[in-house]
This record gives sequence, structure tokens and C-alpha cells, in this order.
Amino acid sequence: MEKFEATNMQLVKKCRLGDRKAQFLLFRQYSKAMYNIAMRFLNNKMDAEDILQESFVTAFLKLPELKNDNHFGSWLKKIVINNCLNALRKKQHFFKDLKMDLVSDESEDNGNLKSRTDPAVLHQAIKELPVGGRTILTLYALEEYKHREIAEILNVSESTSRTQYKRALGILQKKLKN
Amino acid sequence: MISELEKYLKENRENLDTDKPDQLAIWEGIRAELDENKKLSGNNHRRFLFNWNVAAAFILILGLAYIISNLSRNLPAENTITLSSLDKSLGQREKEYQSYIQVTKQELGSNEFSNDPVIYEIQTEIMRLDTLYNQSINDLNEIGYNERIIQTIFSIYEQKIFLLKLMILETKKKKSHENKYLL
Repeated sequence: MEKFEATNMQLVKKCRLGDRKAQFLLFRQYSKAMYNIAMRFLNNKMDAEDILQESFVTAFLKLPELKNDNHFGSWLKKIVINNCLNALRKKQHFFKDLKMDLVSDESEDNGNLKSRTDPAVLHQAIKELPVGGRTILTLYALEEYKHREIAEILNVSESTSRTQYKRALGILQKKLKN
Repeated sequence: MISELEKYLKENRENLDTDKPDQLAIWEGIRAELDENKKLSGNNHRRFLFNWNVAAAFILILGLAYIISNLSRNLPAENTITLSSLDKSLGQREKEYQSYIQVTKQELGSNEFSNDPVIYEIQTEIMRLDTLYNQSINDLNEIGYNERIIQTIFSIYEQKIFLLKLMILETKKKKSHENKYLL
């Protein structure tokens, strides 16, 4: 891990000098994770690729603004998430429109989830969620944002964020059962 | 139940990344954009330098204009240099010539014989000397103190006095001639 961080920091340092090879190595290192984040938000291959390209370009150009080279990954992730949210806003997606009828029965037993759920299936199920719930679920459950932060970012109330998260989780539960 | 799903999501966060991006295609796009940006920033840098040069030239021109304007303001107006401003003794000598000319002109009085060819010739010569005097003063303003110009000016005064005296003599001659015939 230490070795990875050291290498990573060296790459970031080289990127600061505009080293194209270092930029490619950093891209190769982070592209898959960032692409999957973008896919979970946008559920569209081309849009996700556009976001990935835009985010890496932004990151490399604004690298002088990064204070700690060790935080490149989290900084890049923030750029990707912001770009995804902006893309959703551009498509006029608002985050208050989850349908109640899709909410699953929370008392339903989902059995041994750990043993029978394939991560690829779960990933696919998340992508198929309605955009509002999907965004909040991704931010809260996967990217570890607080409901307070989500409310601020999406310009909704904290309780809306909580409610939509629960609903999205319910829909996801139902999808996985099917 | 839901909390179990939530827990599962958090625990399997890394495993969820199952989509594979077209890395090479995306990298090509990134590289092209970075290259474009580099070119643009190079152009911006050149444009910045060009703008700075223009601004510097403008400031230089303004500065020069200010200096020239100040210099010309500090220069005396045209024909303001007099011999007395150059040297008191020169001024004194000029005054003496001017007084003498004044007295001579008074002695001459009104010119009754301006139509006489000789008197007319002398008057034309005096006018030519006046023009020459103005030119010499202009030269003095442009060049400043110059011995030859100063000598020219004094020479003009002397010639003018000589011509005025000549005109007095000629006038006297004409008058005596008229009287002779009248008597």
C-alpha cells in the first residue's frame, strides 16, 4: 500500500510537470473505477465516457490546485461526481420524482444476500433505478456522502434525501429478488 | 433487511465496478484535448506577450508625447529670444541701434518723395533688411546663441541706419532742388 502511494505520488508529481506518460499511467489506474461511478449515475456508456474524458482533462489541467498529491484519487472522484451531477442537471433530471408504487415491502425477507448476489447483477440493478433514487443511493451508500451533503448538492431537503434513499433501496431489493 | 442490503453495498463497493471502459479511445480523447489546450495556452502566452508589447509601446508613446509636450511648453515662444536675453551688453547695443533708428526716422519725418525712384529703391532695401532681421531672429530662436547671427543682426541695424541716412540726404537733395527751381 505504501509502495502504491509512493508510486502514485510520484506519478502525480510528474503529471504536474505535464508528463504525458505519467498522465496515461494515472488514467489507466483510475479510469475503471471512475467510469463505473459515471455509469451508475448516468447509465449510458457514451455519456459516461464523455464524463470520464472531461474529468481527466479537468484534473490534469487543474492539478496545480491540488494541495496534497496523496489525495488525487478522492479529488478526481469529486470531479467525476460533480460532472455527472451537472450532466444530469443539463438533462433536466430533478431529484424529487421517485414513484411510491415501486417501493418494496421492507419486512420482506431477502435471505442470504451475501451469498447469492452477484456484484455485476447488483451494479446493473443500481443502473436501472430511477435517476433520482439512483443518484442518492450512489452518493450515500457507495460514495459515503452524508444526507446533509446530498441535500446541499442536489438542492433538496435532507428528509427528501433520506426518503428517496430508502425508496431506491426498496426498489433495488425488489429487483434483486426478481 | 434493507440494512443488510445497505451493508452488502458498502462491503462490496469495489466489486461493483464491473463495467469496462474503452480505455484507449478515451485516452486518445484526453490526449487530444490536452494537446489542444497546450497549443491554446501557447497561443494565449504569445497573445499575452503581443498584448504586453502593444501596451508597452503605447505607454512609451504616451511617455514620449508627455516629455515632448513638456519640453515644448518649457521652450520660449517663437521670436521670444532677444539679444538682451542672451547677453546684457548685446541687449544694450541693440537698444542703442534701435534708439538711433527711431531718432533718424523722426528726422526723416513723413516721406514726401516715396514715388521718387531712388527713395523707392532705398525703401525696398529697408524692407528687405526687415525681412532679413526677422529671419535672423528666427534662426537665433532655433539655434540659440550664435556669434554669426548676432553679427548679422547688428550689420542689419547698421545698414538700416545707413539707408535711413541716405534717404534723409536724398530727401534733402530733392527739397533743395525743388526750392532752387521755386526761387
